[in-house]
Amino acid sequence: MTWLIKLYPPAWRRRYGRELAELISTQPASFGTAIDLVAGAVDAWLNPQSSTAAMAADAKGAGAMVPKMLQLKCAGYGPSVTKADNLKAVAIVIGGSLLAALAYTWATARYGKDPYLESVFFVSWLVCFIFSQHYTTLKGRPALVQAVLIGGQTAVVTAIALAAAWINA
Amino acid sequence: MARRDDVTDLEEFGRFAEPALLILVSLADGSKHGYAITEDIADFAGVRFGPGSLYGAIARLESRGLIEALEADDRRNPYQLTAVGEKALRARLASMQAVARVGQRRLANA
Repeated sequence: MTWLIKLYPPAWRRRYGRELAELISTQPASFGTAIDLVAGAVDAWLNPQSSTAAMAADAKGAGAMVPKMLQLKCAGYGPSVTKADNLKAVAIVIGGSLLAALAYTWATARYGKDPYLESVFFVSWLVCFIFSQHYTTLKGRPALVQAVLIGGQTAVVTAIALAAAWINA
Repeated sequence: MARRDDVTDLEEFGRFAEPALLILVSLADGSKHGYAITEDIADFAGVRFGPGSLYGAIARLESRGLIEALEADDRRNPYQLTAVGEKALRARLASMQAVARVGQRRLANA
């Protein structure tokens, strides 16, 4: 189940990934643990903490820049994401994932098991997360920039999923 | 009830407020790593947090300077309470005690 750590942001993984993997290895794999890890990953993307920001900057040899970056953020740097925006983003991830699960259940019942269908379903929550960026990291960006970034990420993720299905088919 | 503004209020942690409080209580008697914290909390509070919830709370506590990581012990990183963390824990426990006292008094008079 340690592969779920890959869902966390890179800076978070560098700071806590090893410890989290150690803790996961001490527990029996369960659906509840998987959900807890996915929720933790969504939280880590939506609410980055300064402990991981410092780690990310240190990794690039720019430790002294962190306080300045944090000051810039306090002064208005980056998108102004409100609590309502965060809730909308979470609603997209959870609602979209539920819809995808329903669609997958229906499609499996109608067409039977299919590796391509399974692969696309497994990344559906990630695609929902990518779309949720409209309310978070991409908020306020021009529509064209959002379309390119969201469309590009979605295309890459879907292509990887389909390639994995093709290998397994 | 008046809140001291110089003390970090764990309520700002949202859904991580409860795990954060229990982690602080767990570290009150000495440093522990993630697994030991989980077992200790299960022991004294009867709740077992998932690894995602535990590390979500640890990241918040560390970011606000309430706990700090010690030198890595093998693959495990022990954490210890800081002076700021101890202050926040004392404030939170005092507030909970006050609420408990009022509740018990009212129940006794009911």
